[in-house]
Amino acid sequence: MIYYALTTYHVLCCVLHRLSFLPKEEESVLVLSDIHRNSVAFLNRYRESGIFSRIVLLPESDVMATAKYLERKKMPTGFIYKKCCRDMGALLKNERLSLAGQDLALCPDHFPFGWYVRRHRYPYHCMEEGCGVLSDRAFALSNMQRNKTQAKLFTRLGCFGDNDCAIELLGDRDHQQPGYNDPRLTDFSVAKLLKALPAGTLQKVLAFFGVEETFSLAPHSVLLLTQHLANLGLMPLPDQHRFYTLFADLLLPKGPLMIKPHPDDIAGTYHAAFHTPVQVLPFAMPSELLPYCVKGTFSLAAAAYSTSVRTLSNVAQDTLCFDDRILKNWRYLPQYAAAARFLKAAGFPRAVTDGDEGVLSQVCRLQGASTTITRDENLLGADVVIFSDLNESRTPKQTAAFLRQHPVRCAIFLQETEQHAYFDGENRDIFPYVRPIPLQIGDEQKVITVVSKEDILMKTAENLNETIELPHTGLTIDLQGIARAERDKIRVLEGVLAATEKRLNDYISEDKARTAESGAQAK
Amino acid sequence: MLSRLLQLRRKIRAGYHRRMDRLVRRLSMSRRMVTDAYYGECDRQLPLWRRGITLLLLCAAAKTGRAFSHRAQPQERLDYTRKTPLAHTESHTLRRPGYASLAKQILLHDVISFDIFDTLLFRPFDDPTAVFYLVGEKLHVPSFTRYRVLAEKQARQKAKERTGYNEVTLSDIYTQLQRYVACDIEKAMAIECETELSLLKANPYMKQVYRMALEMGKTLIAVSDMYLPEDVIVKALEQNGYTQFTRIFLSQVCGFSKRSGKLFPFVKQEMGEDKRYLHLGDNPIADRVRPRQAGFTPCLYLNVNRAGNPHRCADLTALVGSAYRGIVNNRLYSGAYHETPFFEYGYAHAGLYVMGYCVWIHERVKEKGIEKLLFLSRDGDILQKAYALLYPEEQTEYLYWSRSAATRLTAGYFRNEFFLRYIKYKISRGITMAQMLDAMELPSMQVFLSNAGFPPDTVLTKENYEDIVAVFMAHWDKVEEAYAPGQRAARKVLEDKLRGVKSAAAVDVGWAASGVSALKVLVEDLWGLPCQIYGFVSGANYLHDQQVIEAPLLTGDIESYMFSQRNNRALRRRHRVGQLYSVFIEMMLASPSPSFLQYEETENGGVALRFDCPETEGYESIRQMQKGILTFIADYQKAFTQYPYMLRVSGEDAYHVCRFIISQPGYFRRFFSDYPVNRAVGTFSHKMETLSTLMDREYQR
Repeated sequence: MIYYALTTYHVLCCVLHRLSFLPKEEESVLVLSDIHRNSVAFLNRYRESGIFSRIVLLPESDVMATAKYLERKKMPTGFIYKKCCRDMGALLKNERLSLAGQDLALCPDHFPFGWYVRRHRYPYHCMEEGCGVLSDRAFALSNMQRNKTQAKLFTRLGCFGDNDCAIELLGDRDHQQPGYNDPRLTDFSVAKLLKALPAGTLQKVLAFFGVEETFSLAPHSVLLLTQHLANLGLMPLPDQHRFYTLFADLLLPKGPLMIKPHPDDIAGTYHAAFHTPVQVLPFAMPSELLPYCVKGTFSLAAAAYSTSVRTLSNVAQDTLCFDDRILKNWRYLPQYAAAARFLKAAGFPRAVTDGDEGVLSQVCRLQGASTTITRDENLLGADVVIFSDLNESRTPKQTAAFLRQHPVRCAIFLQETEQHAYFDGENRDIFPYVRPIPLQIGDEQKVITVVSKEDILMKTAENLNETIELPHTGLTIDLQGIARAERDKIRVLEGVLAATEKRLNDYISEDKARTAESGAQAK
Repeated sequence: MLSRLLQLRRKIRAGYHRRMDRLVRRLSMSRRMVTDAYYGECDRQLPLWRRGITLLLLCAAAKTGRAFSHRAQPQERLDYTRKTPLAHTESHTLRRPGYASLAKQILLHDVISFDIFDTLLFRPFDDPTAVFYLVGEKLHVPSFTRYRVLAEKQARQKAKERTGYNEVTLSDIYTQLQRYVACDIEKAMAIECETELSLLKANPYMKQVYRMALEMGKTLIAVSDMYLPEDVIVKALEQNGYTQFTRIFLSQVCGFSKRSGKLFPFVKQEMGEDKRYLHLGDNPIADRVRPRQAGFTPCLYLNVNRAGNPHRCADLTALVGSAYRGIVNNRLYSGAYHETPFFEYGYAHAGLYVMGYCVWIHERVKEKGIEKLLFLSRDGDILQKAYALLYPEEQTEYLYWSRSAATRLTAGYFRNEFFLRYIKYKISRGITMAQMLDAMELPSMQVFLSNAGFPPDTVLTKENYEDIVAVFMAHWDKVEEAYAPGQRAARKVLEDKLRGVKSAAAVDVGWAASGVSALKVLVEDLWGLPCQIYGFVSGANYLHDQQVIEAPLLTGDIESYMFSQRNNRALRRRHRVGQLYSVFIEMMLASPSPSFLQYEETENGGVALRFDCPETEGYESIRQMQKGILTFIADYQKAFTQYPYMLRVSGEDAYHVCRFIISQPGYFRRFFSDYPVNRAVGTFSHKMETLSTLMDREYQR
C-alpha cells in the first residue's frame, strides 16, 4: 500500500491506518511531501520507527512553486494542472515509485500528488483532511482561498473524495455534518483508533512523533491549541502572539495554562510572548495524542478556529471554539471586555449585536455580566444594541436612521473605523446623550461609545472606572468614563463636535445644492 | 530710434532672464543641488551664456550624481546624492525573510550559529568607532577616537607579522595606544568595556529568531571576530537576554577568524561533523562565503547601517549624527518592524528635531528660571507630549492658541496684522465682502461697507484694499466691541493658567513668533498680569519681514532653536519658504485636532472653545507621525540613559535632518499626496486641499 501524507495530522492518519488495517507483513510505503517542513526535519525519526517499509520524501514544493509561478503569470488552470502532473510524474520516476496497480491512500487529495492520481484515474482511498472536514466543504474551501489554482481544482477534480476514483472515504463518522451519508464512508475516527491500539503499539506511535514524556496536569488546567496563523500569512507573528495572549486573558477562565502549538506553528514563541509562566507542549506531535501524554483532565480545551479541538472531548471537561470571524475581530477584544463591564454595571439581561455573538458572550461570561447576547444583522429584538466593526457596510446615515426608528434603551458602539458612527451630520440632538468611555491599554488609547437617553445609564457610563487585568498580555485595560467633573475634556470635545457638525452640514448643503442643480438641468 | 532699440534690447534680455529663472525654478523642484549651486555661484551680472553653461553642467552633474557644487564639503555632498527610497517605506525596502520562513529553515538544522555584533547585538551608532568618543570623554583625552583607531590598526599589523593572523585582543590595542596617550591601560580598557556594555542592545529581529530556535530545542552557538574580552561579550549577551548559548567561539580565543575561513571548520570539529549547521550574520564574506565553504547553510542578515545609511542625512556632527543614523537604521532596517510612511516620517525625520528642541527648551527654562511652560496649540501638542516623555516630573500647560485667535485678540493693538491676515492675504483667493466678514465674524460691519460702496458680493481686490481698511478704521469701535467677549474669555483662561506664576514661556514652531508676541502683549501690556512672557520658537524666518523679531531676539525674550537672524544664518537663507519647507516642518508637529479659532463666553459666564474645520482625513496619519516621534525619543533616550549629554542636539543638526527630507518634494508626492491641508485656516472652509494640489500650486508660482 502507498500512503501519501502532507501534514502531521495526515501522517498520524497514515500511521494509524497502517497499524490498524494492514497486516504486519504487508509492504507499505509512506510518501511525504517536503511542503511540510516537519516531514523533512523529522524524516530520520520516522524512518527509524520501522512502521513503514519505506518512506519517500517527495520534493513536491518545487511543483507547488511552479504552480504558483504559472498562476502569477495568469496561465489557465488546465495548463497549470497538466504541467504540475507532468512534473509530479518526473519526480515519482526519480524516486522509482510507480503508482499503477497499487493500493493508494491519499491524505489529502488536493495537492499536486492528488492531482496526478486523479489525472491518471488511479483508484484511491481518501482520508479526510481534518476531523469532520469531509462533509464540511465550506470550511475546506475557506482555508484554501489563498491558493487560487488549488481552490479551482478542488471543485473541478472533486477533491475530498468527491469523484469516482475515490473508492473509499475514511472519516470520523460522528463529527460529520448532519445528514451526510455517503455510502463509501468508512468510520475512521482517530480518537477511537488510538484508544483501540494495544499499549505497545501506542508507545510506538508516541515514539514515532517524538513524545518522550508525560505531563501532569494541575487542577483546573486550561488547554489552548494554537494555529500557525503567521505561517499561513493571515497575520504577522507579533500579532499572532498578541492574539493568543488576549485570547487567553479575555476568553479563557483563570487557571494554569498549557499551550499546544499547532505542528506547523514553529515560529510561535509562547514562553516569551506570555507574561505569565505557561507550559508549552512540543509542537511536533499532533494534538490527538494529548490524551496519552498528559495525566489528568483539562477543565477546558480551547482553540480560536480549529477542528482539532473536536477530538479532545475525552481529555477535557469542556471545549471552546469560535468561527473564522475571530480572525478579524480579535483586535476588538478589549472593546468587547469594556462593553461587557458596562453591561454588567447597567445590569442588562439581554442584548443584540451585529458582531460576533460567540466571542461577546464568552467575554461577558468571564467579566461577570449575565447578559445573553444574540446576533441579528438588523439589530432587532432587544433594548440594548451593540454595534461592532464586523459590519463595515453600515453608514452613519443608516445608523442614525436606525436610532431614530428604533428608540432602544441603549446603543453601544465598539467601532474603531467609524468613531462617530451615530452622527450623520443632522442629528445634533443626539450629542447630549453620547457618553464616550476611553480605554487605556498600555500606551494605546481606544474608546467605546454609549448612547442612551436614560439618565441612570448615562451616569453609569460616566462613572465607569474599572481596571481589567490582562496578566498574559502584561497590560491592564483602564476604563475611565468621562465624569462631569472633567470640564476641560468636555469643553474641548464639545468644541470639536460643533466644528465637525459645521463641516458635515456644509458638505450636506453643498450636496443638496448640487442635486438641485442637476435636477433642474435634467428638467 | 536708438533709445527705442536699446529699450527693446533690454526688454528681450529681461525676457531671457525671466525664462532662465523659471527654468531654474522648475529644475530646482527636484534637484536641490542645482538650485543651491546655481544661486550660490552664478552672479546675475555674468553673461547669459556662461550661466547657461554652468546650469547645463550642473544638471548633468546632478543627473550622474557624481559631481557636486564645488564648495560643498564631503558630508554635504553625500546629502545631495542620498535620497529616501520611494518604492516602499524604508522598513519594507529590505524584505528580510519573515519569522515563519526563517523558522522553517531553523527547523531543518541542528545547530544554529549567530554572529554577535550587528546581528545579535546593536550599537546605537552607525559607526562602531563613535563609541570611542564616549570613551575619550570619560578619559578626558581629546582626539582619543583617532588614536584608538590608529592603535588598533597598528596592533593588527603587528599581530599579522608575528602570527600570520591579524587577530588582536583589547590588551594588544591598548598596549599600542601607549604610543599616543600614556593613560592607565587597565583603567582605560575597563572604561571601554563598560561603555560598550552600556550601549549594546539586543536586535529585536534576531531576539525573536533566537527564541524560535530555542523553543525548537536547537543547539545555539555564537561566533565572533571581536577583540573584546570573552567575559565582556558573554555579559553583553546575557544582559540582553541571550543566556542559552551552548558555546561562544571568539577569534581571539581560537586564534583564527571567521573571515580567514578557519573558524567555521573548527566550530564543526568541536560541535560534531555530522550535524546540520545554519549561520546567521551580517558580513558578506565572513558570514556568507566562509560558512558556506565550511558546509554551513549561510543566512545573510544584511547590515542595517549598510542598508540604511544611503538614505540617511550625513552632514551632521560626528557623535549625534552617528547616533541618529544608528538608531534609525536599527529600527527601520532590523526587519522586526514594518511601519507606515507617516510613522517613518515621524521617527526618521522629525524625532531628532522634536527631541533636540525639547531638550533645548528645558535648558533655557532652567537657565532663565521660568516657572511655567505653555505649549501653544496645535504645534505644541506633540512638543508637550515629547517634553513630558523626557521630563515627566515637570508640569506644563497646553494652551489653545492660534494665529487667528491671536490676531483677533490683539486686533486693537496690532491693527496691520489684522488687516493683513483677514484682508490682504485673502485677495489672491478672490473672496467677497460677505465671506471676508464671515471669517472675521463681523457681520455688523457690512452696513458700513455697503454705505462706502462695497455691497456683500464685492470681490476683494488690490485696488479696493486700502478703501476697505479705511472703512474699518473709521468704525474701529465696532470691531473692538465685537471682539470684547472673546477677550474676556481668553483673559479668564490665561489668568487661571498663570495664577501665581511670575514668568512663563510660550513654545511655538515659528516663524514670525506672532503667537508668542501676541501673548506677550496681551499678558504684560493689555491685561497687565504680573507675569513675564518669554517665547521659544524652532526657527525664525518670516517671508515678509526678515527682521520682524530682531529686538526680542536681542533682548532674549524670544529665542530660536534652529535658526534666526542671530544664529545659523546660513540655514535661514537655505530655508526656502516658497518650496514649502515651513509647511513640511509644520507637518512634523501636526496634531490630530482642529485649529483653534476663539475663546467664547458662555451664558453662565464660563468659557467655551471654538474650533475651525476639523481635517479629520489626516488625523490617523498624524497619530502615526506622533507615534513615530515619541518612539524615536523613547529609543534614543533608552540607548543613552547613561549619557544624557547625547540628547543635546544642536539646532543645526536638527535642521539638517529636517532639510534632508523637506528638500525632497518627490517623497511628499509619493507618500503624502492625499494629506489634507487647510490653507484657509480661520475662514471655516469645509473644502480641504491635499498636499499634492498645494505643491502643484506653490511650485508653479
